[in-house]
Amino acid sequence: MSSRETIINSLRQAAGSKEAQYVAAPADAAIYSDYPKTGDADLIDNFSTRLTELKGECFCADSVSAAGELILRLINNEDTGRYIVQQASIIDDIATSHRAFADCLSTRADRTTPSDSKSLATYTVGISTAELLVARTGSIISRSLYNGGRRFFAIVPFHIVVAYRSQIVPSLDDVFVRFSATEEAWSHATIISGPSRTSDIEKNLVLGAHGPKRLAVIIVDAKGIETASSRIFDDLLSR
Amino acid sequence: MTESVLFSRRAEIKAKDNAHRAKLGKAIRTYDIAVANMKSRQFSDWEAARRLAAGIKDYSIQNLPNLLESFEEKISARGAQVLWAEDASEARGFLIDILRTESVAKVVKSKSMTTEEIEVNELLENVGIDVHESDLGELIVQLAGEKPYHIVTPAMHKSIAEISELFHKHLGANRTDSPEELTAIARSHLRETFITADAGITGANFIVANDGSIVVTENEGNAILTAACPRIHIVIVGIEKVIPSLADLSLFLPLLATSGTGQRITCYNSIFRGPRQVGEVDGPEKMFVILLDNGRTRLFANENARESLRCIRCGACLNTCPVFKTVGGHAYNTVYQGPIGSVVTPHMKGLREWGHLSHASSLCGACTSVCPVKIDLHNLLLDNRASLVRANSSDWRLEMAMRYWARLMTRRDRVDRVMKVWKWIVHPFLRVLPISFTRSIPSIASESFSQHWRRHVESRNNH
Repeated sequence: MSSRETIINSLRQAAGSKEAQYVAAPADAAIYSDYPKTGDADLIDNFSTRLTELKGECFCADSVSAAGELILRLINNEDTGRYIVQQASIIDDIATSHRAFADCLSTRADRTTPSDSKSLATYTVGISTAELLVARTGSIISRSLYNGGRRFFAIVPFHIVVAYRSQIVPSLDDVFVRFSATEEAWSHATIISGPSRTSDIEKNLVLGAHGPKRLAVIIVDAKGIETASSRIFDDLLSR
Repeated sequence: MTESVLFSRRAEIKAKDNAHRAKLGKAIRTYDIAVANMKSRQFSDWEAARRLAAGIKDYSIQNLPNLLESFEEKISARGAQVLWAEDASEARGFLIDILRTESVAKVVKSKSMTTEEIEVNELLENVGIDVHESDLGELIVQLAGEKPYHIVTPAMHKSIAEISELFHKHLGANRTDSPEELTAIARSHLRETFITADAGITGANFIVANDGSIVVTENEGNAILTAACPRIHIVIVGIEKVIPSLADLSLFLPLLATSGTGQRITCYNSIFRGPRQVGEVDGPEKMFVILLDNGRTRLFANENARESLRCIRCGACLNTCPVFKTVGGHAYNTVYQGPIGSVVTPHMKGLREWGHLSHASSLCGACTSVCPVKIDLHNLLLDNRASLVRANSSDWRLEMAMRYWARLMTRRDRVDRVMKVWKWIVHPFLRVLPISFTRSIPSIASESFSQHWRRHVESRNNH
């Protein structure tokens, strides 16, 4: 008898006829006291508050062109290395409407993820979109199918995420519903909540344990929504 | 020397070690504040969330065979290979076979207690395969040549100075007292390892039955890199980690993060469902999942102890346990420390050698009160004590002592007589025994409780 059969049989035998009822957990709205309110502005505000608590940065941009300007300003202070930029329609939209961003892409960015980890590790900035943003937890959903693979976002020292406001969902429930409905085969997804961190040294919080030290999210098309982060954005643009 | 004697010796040394107590105290105080804060900020009703989680895990444990088969079917369809190991030696055999067939020379590991159970590091070192821990805490204990101190915080017992010394000695780094610099040293050391390793070994926090997923929760990003960079990904996971559906994660991920570290959700929660698929830009060429029994079916067969398979390894019972806080994680000499370790180790590794851990508890019930999946830990410890007594029933001295004890304790007048002997003959001796050097021995009250009761309460009632 194989070990598989031995294990399964001994479990079946010991289980006897005792029945247990499967009661799925109720929706997140019923479990969590910090479940966001339903309005669009509330979702953005919730997301940005959570991400900021997690030491990430969150900005709102009125348009794709404003997002382009913002990205250039965010990476301006970084060194003059090369950038890895995911192939995504939102990034093409930004490039179309913002000439300087498009120039930056053509001179300093690679658009295909290299096959070896060594070259991937040389980039100083990574720009990608997210499949979804989760308001309650301030999380970014990155799935291998859509987001440039499973290594990218965990290797670059500075990760910039751009997403449309329509991509924000209230809670993790919405993420798993979407995952379960996907028909193509996918092998990986990560729920990213803030820049990489550790507290293993006398419980001191240190960012950038292995992955990004810095994580910024730009929500595009958030016109007219006043959040703490959009004020930061205005401040950044006026500098 | 037996494990029982060794436990007492190690416990005594640590109980008197003030530096150890200070490090542990600092870590646990930080943890306590974060957890209390997040419970109230995040959950509308923590008790209700615990009940839900316990219910889902109960269902999962009761239906393990079906759920495991479903998991196997789904993940195999995407090209992962599932292997079932009855015990540690079979799992070690599988692992060596895979590494040899795939000509692996260098392995990178993320944090995993199951790999501690089957002692992967020792195994690989013996056959000449390079093995590197990538979780910062695990790296620290690996460099120190020690075992993890705590299931969630493996290097809880190391001070900044000690870590700096280890990095200086083993990694050639300059000494520093900055946690940021120490983390940066580990980062650059391990970056090279991720890039050059042939295989990555991870554990799993959950396995999802309905769609064949492995879920790994972490903060550093090392588990993702372990599963993403090398060409082979090997998962070693206990069979009890299964949950029915992906949707259950929206409860379990925040629950585990809150109880484990006081976070709303940990920084990276990754779902791995196979090797690289058509249309994906990267991912390993091959994925193997080793499902480990190693005593879990024995736990399952015991109807009382079965509920301990609900455990999601958050470490909350360790952090609240007055015994753990006094003796520390290494005193136990087990993979799983603290109350949960004392419950499961005798079942997994033998009652005769490990039964003494049932007594490493004051039965105060703090562990039970914090467990996010409501395992009745202190009563299970009591259960283990009962098994221990039954296993030793051939001991005539114990039999005799207990029979006399029962005769004494069931009659008031006998208790009173014994107490008189105690008061006038035994108690004065206590004051000259070694225990009186470290403790002050309180004196016995002039009248017994029953005398006091008669004099005050009964006489008052008679008026």
